[in-house]
Amino acid sequence: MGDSAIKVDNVRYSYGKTLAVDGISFQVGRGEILGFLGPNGAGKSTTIKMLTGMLTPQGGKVELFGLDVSHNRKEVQARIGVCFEEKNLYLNMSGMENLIFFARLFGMKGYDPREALKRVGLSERGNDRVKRYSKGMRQRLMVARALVNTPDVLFLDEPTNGLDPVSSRAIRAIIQKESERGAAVFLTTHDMNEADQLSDRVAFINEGLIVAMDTPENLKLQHGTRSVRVRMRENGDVSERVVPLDTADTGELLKAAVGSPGLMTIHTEEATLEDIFVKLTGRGLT
Amino acid sequence: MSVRKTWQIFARDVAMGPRTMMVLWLIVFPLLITFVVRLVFGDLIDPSPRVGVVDFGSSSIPAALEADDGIDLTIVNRVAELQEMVETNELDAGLVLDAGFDAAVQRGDLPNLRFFVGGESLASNRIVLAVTTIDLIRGLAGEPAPVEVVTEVIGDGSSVPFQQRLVPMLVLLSVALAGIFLPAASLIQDKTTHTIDAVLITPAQVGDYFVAKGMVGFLLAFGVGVITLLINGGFTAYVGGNLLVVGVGALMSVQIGLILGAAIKDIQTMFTVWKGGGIILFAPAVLFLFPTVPQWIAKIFPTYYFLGPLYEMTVNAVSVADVALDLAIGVAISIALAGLAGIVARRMEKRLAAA
Repeated sequence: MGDSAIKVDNVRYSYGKTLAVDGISFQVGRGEILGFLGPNGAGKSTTIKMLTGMLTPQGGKVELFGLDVSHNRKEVQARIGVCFEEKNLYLNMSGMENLIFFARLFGMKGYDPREALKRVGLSERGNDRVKRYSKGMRQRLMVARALVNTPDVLFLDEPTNGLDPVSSRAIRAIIQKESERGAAVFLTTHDMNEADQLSDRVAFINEGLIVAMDTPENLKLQHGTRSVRVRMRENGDVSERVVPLDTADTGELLKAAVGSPGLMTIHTEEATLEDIFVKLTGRGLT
Repeated sequence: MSVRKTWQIFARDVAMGPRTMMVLWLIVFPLLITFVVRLVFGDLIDPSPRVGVVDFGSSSIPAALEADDGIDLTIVNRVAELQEMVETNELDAGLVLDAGFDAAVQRGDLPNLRFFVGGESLASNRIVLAVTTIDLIRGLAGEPAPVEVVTEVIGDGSSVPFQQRLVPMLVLLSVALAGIFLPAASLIQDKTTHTIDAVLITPAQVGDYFVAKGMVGFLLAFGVGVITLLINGGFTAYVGGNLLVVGVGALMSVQIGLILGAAIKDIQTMFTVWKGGGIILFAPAVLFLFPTVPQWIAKIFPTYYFLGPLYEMTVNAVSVADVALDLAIGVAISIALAGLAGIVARRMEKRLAAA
């Protein structure tokens, strides 16, 4: 992790008597992609709102680029890009008009919306009103809008939710590029594969607490079980068995399987992030 | 607050106005309502009697007809042209005055007078023109009228025509609809589509956003208010004062619109509030329509403080100085409402973030 772009220290927030975020702390470095995962109601949205200055923490402190967000809200907001889950675009305006309007609000002189539209594959439809866009096109425009100010921190809330594979891949590529440019990316998603592929680290939040935070590989190593799935044909029947890799007789079992004339396939298996989340919290992500 | 951000949001809303059905409706509405009122209460389907005159001499009758406000006079050069205009109902009637007509009448001769009446003209217009013409000729001859007509005014002699009393109501309808509905509906729409979240996460502040919405509402409310006043003949010699009064009305309406827009969740609730609360807005204008009801009651309602001055200026042609106190109260109410709108705006921002 490089310099800290986001620094969250013991942050709390309650809605009345309902505790949404219960003293979480973490840091995100410049150029790092943090996958922030949790089920609905876990505290993801409240955390994002505190990080982006929409909500003021009731305890603790949030700093972006060394600035206390509570006291420098507009300065911080000038340097971040937010892609909401809700596709809150101006439907009566064209894609280009939407981008120009927001670029002006960010004070971006000389902003070229055509370049941004090209980047998200909307060059041909830039002059069409957004109400004529498909869901995927709107989502791509949302990402383009979040990038109008070349943000230092990018907040993406379910950026590929419900998109076709091509659109999803395009958006993932943009996220990678932004990270390479040096932007910190705070990504919330329900898509475990996406989090696994994109994130340098992932944080699991549940009931307002971060229950685990590490690289996907480390989390799998620490909390998952490694195994090998062996498929064999014996006496005309096909059978499967899972051989754990961390037991005393693993070597013997594997040796027997490999030496068997009925061996059909052998695959290594590792736990998914979802498996780990379930293991840690006792609940699923949806 | 940032002037630049406010301007950018304002410019966006103005540019998008023509693409918004509500904005177009709010512009068309005053024209439509004026048309309906004039259709119902006269002057659109009940024009003044129209008479044409061909004068081969220099009769004093055309000048006398010209001086009559209730008659539209057209001077025609040729008899054939006059006949054609009457036949085609361009004119209700036509008079041909031969050379020396006045002198002949005064000598007691019986000169020939050709009087064309259009077959399609209104009976009332024919009677008015015939009686007026006979009366003028009798005046030339110096004859006394065969009967003495005693004019007796029934009812309040100081009362003004109903159509004129409607002018403040029409202006209020235009100004309030545009000033209240546009900012309120725009805010509510931005909340329901969450575009407001996207704007407020930029360096733009909620104050920039509110002022911009208010400016758009003011621009439209003031514009349609002036148009309504103009097409209803409400402008007096004190044009600056007339504009000032409409401006105060627009300012007050916009503040109400912003407060409603910030507080109300959806457009259905907005319509419900409009229906229920409309009486508070329109009460003074309704009271002006019924002069027999004690007029002080109107002063209870905030909109009186621009409607009262408007009524006095348009109906009684008073100057700004004569209505300065009421107008000052109107401005004070607007400022107080602006303060309230500011508080409501900040609460709305918090509520949106916590949603």
